[in-house]
Amino acid sequence: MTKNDPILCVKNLRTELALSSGAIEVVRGVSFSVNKGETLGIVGESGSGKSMTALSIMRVLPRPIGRIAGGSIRLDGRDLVQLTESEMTRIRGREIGMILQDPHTSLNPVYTIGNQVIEALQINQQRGGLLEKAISLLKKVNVADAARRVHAFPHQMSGGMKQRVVGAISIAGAPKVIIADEPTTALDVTIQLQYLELLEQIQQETGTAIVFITHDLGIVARLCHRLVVMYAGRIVEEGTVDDVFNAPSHPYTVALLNSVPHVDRKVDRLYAIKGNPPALHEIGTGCSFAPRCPLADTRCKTVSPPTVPGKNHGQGHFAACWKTGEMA
Amino acid sequence: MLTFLFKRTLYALISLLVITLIVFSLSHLSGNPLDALLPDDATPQQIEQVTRHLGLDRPIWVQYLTFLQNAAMGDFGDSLKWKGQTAAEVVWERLPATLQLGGLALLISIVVALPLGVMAAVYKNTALDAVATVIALLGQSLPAFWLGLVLMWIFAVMLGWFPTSGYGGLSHMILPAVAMAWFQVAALTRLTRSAMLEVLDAEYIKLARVKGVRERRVVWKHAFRNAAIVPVTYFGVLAGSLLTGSVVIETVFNWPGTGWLAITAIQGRDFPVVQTVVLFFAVLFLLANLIVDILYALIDPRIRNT
Repeated sequence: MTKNDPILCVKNLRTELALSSGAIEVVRGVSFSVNKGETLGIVGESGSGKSMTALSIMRVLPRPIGRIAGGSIRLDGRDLVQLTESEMTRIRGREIGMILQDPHTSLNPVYTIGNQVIEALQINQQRGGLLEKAISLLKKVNVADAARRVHAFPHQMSGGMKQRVVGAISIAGAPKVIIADEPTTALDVTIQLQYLELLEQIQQETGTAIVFITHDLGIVARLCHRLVVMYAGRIVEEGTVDDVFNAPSHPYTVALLNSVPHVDRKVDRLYAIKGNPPALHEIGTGCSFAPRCPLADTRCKTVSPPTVPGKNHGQGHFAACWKTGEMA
Repeated sequence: MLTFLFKRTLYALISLLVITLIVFSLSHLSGNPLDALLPDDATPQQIEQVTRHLGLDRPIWVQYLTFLQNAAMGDFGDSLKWKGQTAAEVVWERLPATLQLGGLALLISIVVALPLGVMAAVYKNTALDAVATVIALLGQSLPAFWLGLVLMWIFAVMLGWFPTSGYGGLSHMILPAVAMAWFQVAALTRLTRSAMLEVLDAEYIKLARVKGVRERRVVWKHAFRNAAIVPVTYFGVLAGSLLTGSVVIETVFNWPGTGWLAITAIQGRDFPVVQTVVLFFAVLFLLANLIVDILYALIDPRIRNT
């Protein structure tokens, strides 16, 4: 795959939710790009804005409270933010697919698997022999006994199988980008690995780019080429998996890496980052991580940090931090 | 699916049996039928003769079985108030009027409430939602007899579009049907709206959107069928209460239906007719609920397999 050939380019994205207490910004100026055939990981805790970023790209924010307040999302050069709703409907499923988190709730319980896969095929202008096409699509995502399962209802299948069906739906239109929002979180560990292998297989066959949203750094190391780390609606670090794992350049990334338990290291107590992520309406002017950061000083708490090159000056490795230079 | 249908039908028959038991016991609880049948100065011979003729001297369970047997053949005895007619005939005469009016009211309720409820959910917190809320609020707070009179005054008396009252064709039915339906429209709209709101938040709706399904199809194919369980549940109550006739509306519009009949029969202590009416109503309710069960199974595959 050609490197540095961006297919999806998000620039300064700002997303707001209008709550009864007032509008809060849940995505606060996020920029990143995904190259053709690349897998980008978006990592962060719950509430860091990673799912909201995904929903913004798909333009399916919760109605009627969610809205994109600014920035651009360029898919193959077209700015999705500027499209009308009906233009966007034609983009969804055909140019960007999405896999949701919980397979137990993301398939419609009252329609058969076949019905839902065929619907995806129809949306992508497939005509004739739809049942056969649906079966072969299910085979492609390794659904065993696809010819029979195509007539099954979601409640008759296991979580892993359902998530494969969701995968089949997402690739029905051979999209250029697939956004996977924690697709393995609800699956058993053994099934998780199979599913990741399936995603890799799909990527090799179709050359699609994948945006993989997760809080699991192990999966990122296993699957992704590059990653961005999000905290409180912002990207705090970005780089290749090697650079970020070997030379984490933001104290939050360091803390995240420390909180991953290792099988080979026996510890009395697992490491946890002190405190909680800030509520988004109480973010001050400085770095949002400052209240929990061991390195933070007065400047960190009052002035928004600059984006600086990562510690080892790797290509495309950046952190938004005042203290990167001082980190050991 | 067949086992499901069989089970539900069996339940309905058992319920019907219990209802006949209740109807039978009630008629015995409310006093000796002889008091209603015979004049105050009846001779002991007369009393004994009538008692034997009606089988009132036999054990109570024999009386019940006889009642069941006769009921199964449509024989509920002779009406006491309408001389020369059997109770079944009296009810049978009134039934078409009630079914016509109730059927029309049912149709109006469904045709108005379902789209209104769905749209109110889709356009939540907009003007359309507000209009639906006002319609629902009016429907649930205006008494039916008052609404009926106002409709009659505006559309029959002032505008002269419809006849004021009486039995007749479609033009006679519209005003009473609207008056009857309005309350139900209110309930059904609110139920549909809240069910739709819940479903529209579901993950499978999100998946339908991200896979590129057009919004109209998201609403009607993916959301509505799941939300429909709630209004369908209410359909049992709705059909039951509309088809058994409304005493109030039938009185206001002078509509010769079973609601009016039931009241008149009760006032006249015409027990055979009361029993027949109650049983007819029970059967209608049971049928409506059987239809609801079947609709459930058609809507949701998970119910079919239980």
